[in-house]
Amino acid sequence: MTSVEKEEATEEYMVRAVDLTKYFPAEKVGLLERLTGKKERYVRAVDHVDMLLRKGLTTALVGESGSGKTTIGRMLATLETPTSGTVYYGDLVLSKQTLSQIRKRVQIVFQNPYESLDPRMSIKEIVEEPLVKIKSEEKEKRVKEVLSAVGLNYDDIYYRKARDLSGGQRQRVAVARAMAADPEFIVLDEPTSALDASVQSQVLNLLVDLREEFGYTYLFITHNMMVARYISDYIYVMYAGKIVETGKTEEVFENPLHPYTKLLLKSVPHLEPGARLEPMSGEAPSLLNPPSGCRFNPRCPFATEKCRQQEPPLVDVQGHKVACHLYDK
Amino acid sequence: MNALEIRDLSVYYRTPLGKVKVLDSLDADFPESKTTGIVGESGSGKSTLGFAITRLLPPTAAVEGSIKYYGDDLMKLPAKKMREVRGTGVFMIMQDPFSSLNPVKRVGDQLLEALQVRYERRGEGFDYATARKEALKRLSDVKLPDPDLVMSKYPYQLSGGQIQRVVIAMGLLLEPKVIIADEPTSALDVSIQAQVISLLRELQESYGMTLLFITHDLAVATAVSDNVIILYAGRIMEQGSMADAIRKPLHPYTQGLLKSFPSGNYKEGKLYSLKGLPPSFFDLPSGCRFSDRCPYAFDRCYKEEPQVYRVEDRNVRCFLYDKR
Ligand SMILES: Nc1ncnc2c1ncn2[C@@H]1O[C@H](COP(=O)(O)OP(=O)(O)OP(=O)(O)O)[C@@H](O)[C@H]1O
Ligand SMILES: Nc1ncnc2c1ncn2[C@@H]1O[C@H](COP(=O)(O)OP(=O)(O)OP(=O)(O)O)[C@@H](O)[C@H]1O
Ligand code: SF4
Ligand code: SF4
Ligand SMILES: [Mg+2]
Ligand SMILES: [Mg+2]
Repeated sequence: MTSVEKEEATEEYMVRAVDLTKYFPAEKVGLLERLTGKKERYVRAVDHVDMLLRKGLTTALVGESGSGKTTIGRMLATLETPTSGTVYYGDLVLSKQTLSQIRKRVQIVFQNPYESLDPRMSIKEIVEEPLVKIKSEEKEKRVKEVLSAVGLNYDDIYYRKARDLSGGQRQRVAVARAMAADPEFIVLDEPTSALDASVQSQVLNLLVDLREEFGYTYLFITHNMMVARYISDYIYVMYAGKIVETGKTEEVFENPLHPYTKLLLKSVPHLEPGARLEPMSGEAPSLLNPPSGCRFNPRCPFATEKCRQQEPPLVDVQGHKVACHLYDK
Repeated sequence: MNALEIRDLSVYYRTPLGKVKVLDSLDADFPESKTTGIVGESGSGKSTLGFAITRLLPPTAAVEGSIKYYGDDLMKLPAKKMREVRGTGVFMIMQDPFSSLNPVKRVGDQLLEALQVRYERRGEGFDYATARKEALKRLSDVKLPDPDLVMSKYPYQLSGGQIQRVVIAMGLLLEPKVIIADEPTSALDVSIQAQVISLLRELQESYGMTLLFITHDLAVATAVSDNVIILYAGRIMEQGSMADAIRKPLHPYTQGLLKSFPSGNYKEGKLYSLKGLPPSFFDLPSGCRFSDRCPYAFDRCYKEEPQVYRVEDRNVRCFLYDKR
């Protein structure tokens, strides 16, 4: 065990994923093809990932579209079964026996506020849905509580349909719904991407307040680097199903080490007059047939022969962890 | 020279709850070969403006005012003439890119059709091999991997981000004088977004195309635009140079948007946030439409609606600039 691993093992965590992997079948292979020996092909959406979500803190997960962020979020929220790997929730290991117990502790807010809430259901129905086996007076009380925690007035809103709400209101309802079941851990998948800056800042402030008040642990998935920097204590950067860099948020932002993280930071649009973007060259890699060695090598300005052959391990460098041969000792 | 000049444009929608005025008396000029960012919250009327210009509003909409395209009033143009303008004159990249493509035709055939239209209008002969090469080139310009493969696919076989780029490629193939791009990069992640934005800028500089860039993200608008229009609840609140608006926003709403952008970490303090939410068109505040959220609102703001004031080469709709 390295020192960092020891520290992690003793630190109080909410969720710890070890060697987490998810492969999706790329195409449905019929019985005939199976009998005739045609091999199934897999999308390697998440490939041997370790993650540690510290209790009461926010961990951001960033990376390119299709890199596997939502898949990790869904696995940690127990909505998707890992292909392999182990997930611990505090003292419990995820298994068939513990699933129902763990589910009570976990909630997820989905990526798109326009799709995630059933437009025909009333707000009351949406928020109380996760509350089973509770008397109806108590349900109403709980719905009132969580709606007011997210800054919505029950009497104004409980009868309205999701389709009649603005984007910011829908996102608040989605957060209230997640809170209703009194979880300890909430996965937030791109909760503000569809919102403009003035509403986004309201939602981010609200999330910080709620976490302070109720002690939630968040996994915050986003492709917006400035949002990640604001909201999180720790950050994981993903590329093509792998973690390429992770550490304390301020350390990763002040001293990004992986070439992908550096380029990602440069392609963020800034509020600076006349600023031009520096786009990353090349295409996102295929997950069916990922590049050999380091998956970033076809787009990396520093790639060498070694990078094309050997996959770099995630190792401790300058206070955080990075998977890149540039930092080989 | 202005590619487009909009005067006193209002758009209404008929709804079960009554008629709503979604754009209210807009005046705007779009100078040739410049990019104008159109920024506003969800529901502020951005797409409606694009549809009004291209005359693609639904039958439940009614329009008043004039939209001049190089001097021709588009509102008065016969349908046949308008169809010609729509392809090679003004092309709109729709917010929902699937609606721009025919679901039962292969992507390649649709791109070639677009090229055929362009060749015909220019009186050039259509040559399949040249056209195919041009289409492939544009698909790789928008960073689609395996352009050959993409050409052979049907729209439903591509992801949202890929479709978005196919439609951008189609727009580029038509070489229109004006492109209206409605949230063209919001389905794309940052690195592809940056690639597409640089491509649009490059093409605009080399072909002198005029670009109207619709987005809810002021930072994205900053990276593409020369000028900006800030829409709020159907009104233009601020209008002028993009760089000036970022350096020194005049309207309290623009100021609020800028201040709300995340910077630093939560431990350093709360993010600035405007109180309240954008109003419903059925229940607009009396007086200034921003008055219920404005940190500077005073008596007059609740009684009268401000007109547009001219300040340092910019237009701003706010009483703070009334120097009477
Ligand atoms: N149910 C599924 N079946 C097959 N492939 C899937 C499935 N879900 C996701 N994938 C694939 O797995 C990869 C990772 O997808 P995921 O949704 O986790 O990415 P993401 O990082 O959340 O992307 P985005 O930023 O676009 O939301 C993608 O290539 C996607 O096409
Ligand atoms: N066909 C329609 N009938 C009635 N109302 C409509 C119709 N289309 C749009 N609206 C309403 O008009 C207003 C402006 O809509 P528009 O689509 O132009 O907004 P937008 O600024 O493009 O928003 P977004 O950022 O969400 O795309 C909204 O309140 C919307 O609900
Ligand atoms: S391992 Fe090599 S290819 Fe990969 S990021 Fe580092 S330098 Fe680039
Ligand atoms: S007119 Fe009044 S309410 Fe409106 S933006 Fe100006 S100061 Fe604010
Ligand atoms: Mg996702
Ligand atoms: Mg729109």
